[in-house]
Amino acid sequence: MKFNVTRWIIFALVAIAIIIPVMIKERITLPESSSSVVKNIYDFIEKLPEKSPIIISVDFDPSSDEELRPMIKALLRHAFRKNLRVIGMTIWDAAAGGTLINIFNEMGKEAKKEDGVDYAIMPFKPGGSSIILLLSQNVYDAYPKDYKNNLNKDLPVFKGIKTLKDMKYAMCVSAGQAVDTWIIYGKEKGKMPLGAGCTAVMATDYYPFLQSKQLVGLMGGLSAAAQYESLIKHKDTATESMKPQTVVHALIIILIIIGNIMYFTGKRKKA
Amino acid sequence: MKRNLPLLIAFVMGILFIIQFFVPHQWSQEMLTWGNKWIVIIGGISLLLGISSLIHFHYVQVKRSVPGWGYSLVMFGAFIIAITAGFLPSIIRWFLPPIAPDADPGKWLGFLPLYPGLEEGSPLFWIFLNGISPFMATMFSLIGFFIASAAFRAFRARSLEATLLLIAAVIIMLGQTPLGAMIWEKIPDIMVWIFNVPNTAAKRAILFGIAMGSIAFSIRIILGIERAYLGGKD
Repeated sequence: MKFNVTRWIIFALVAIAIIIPVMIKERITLPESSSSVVKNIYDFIEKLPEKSPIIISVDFDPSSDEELRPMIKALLRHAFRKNLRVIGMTIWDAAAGGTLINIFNEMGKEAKKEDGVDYAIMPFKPGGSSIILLLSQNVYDAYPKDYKNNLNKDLPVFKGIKTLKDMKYAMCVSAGQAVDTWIIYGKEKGKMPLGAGCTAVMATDYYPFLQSKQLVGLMGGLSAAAQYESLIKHKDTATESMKPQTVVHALIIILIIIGNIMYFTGKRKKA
Repeated sequence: MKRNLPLLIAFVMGILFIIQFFVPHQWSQEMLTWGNKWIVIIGGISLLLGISSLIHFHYVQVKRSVPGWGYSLVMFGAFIIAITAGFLPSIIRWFLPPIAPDADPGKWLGFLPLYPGLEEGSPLFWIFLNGISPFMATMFSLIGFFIASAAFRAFRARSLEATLLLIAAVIIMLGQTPLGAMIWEKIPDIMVWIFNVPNTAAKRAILFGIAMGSIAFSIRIILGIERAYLGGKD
């Protein structure tokens, strides 16, 4: 195997750029900001009346956990603070247990909310778009029971809910195609306001849906999660993780500049 | 028959559900619910098919001692551990009564975690939290290192198009962090403009292309022209 010195120097620099800000994160203060696309989600949830039912689809696995978990946590903190009723679900098999159940129960405990009364967690079912279509027809056809085997019809959190149309807001946080599925099937059939959260690299895919008003707002990547934490005034992991991310972004830009200087000086020498 | 029956099912169901979309009658809606319930059931069965395919593939790898067959053994080990962790708590709880009537049903002998499925405290949850989660996070984190290395090599102002791409990338990288606003307060606005105008225009064109392609492909499947999904040779 060929040992590439430049590559290993870059790897070492990236490691240093991550480790040092993590070690001294208390000493680093970054200015707060919020983009309009993130603020739209905050404003929408803020205006919802108490006890309004909302649905959050958690569609990512541990590989995107660091980027997307803070979004769900911030959304749940906001929803629980507003006393909204929250239904949690997933169409992504790997998100079923450790992600969906874990986040909802953690945030439920933190906000002293009761499972079945203030929030409910749905079990994973295969089918993706079919599950969303079933929700738009009849919520209890899609999910007759919650993950603890309780009949959803008997749970206070489901009071007055029959179809997706009864949801005052839906939010899909995904690292894959789930947002597209929610736009095509959930928004088309359910007609409820829909927001989306995704990884930073995917954010560009959903800007056309913001202009067409198919999405209320968009949270793209860790910076959006940090912005939401700043809006709800509860700084957590996203704000902390933005510190190494900022340093690494700066490092990559410096590397690009160095790479171009090397390219042009090399070109001149050849000429 | 083996080929014609699936083609017939695809044709009938395709036409039926196109008509269903435009008919708001209750029967039509019930048919949609019925169809979707079937898809969920088939989805569940396809998981079993996936498992059998996975086992068969790795069994052949080990049997033929294909280079890297050791990884297949690791897969079998992980598979058995995950299946055991998933089912064992429920089996033990069914067959063995708790030591004391008022004992925590989630703990057997007072310490063995027997919460079923993916509930917090279950063995499967433990595996997810301490095994799958760090493994997947580590694999994904490596991308950061390769992106830095690739950016150093690939982002060169070789042509006008490459320069435009480079400038856009730098603005977005700066705009995605508070660094952008610290350098120049207009950078986040320029980033939003890039997202909203050139990016949206290009994405919209791509989306139209995908939509047209999807419609054409669906019509080909319904009419039986496209048969690749049946497997084998045409």
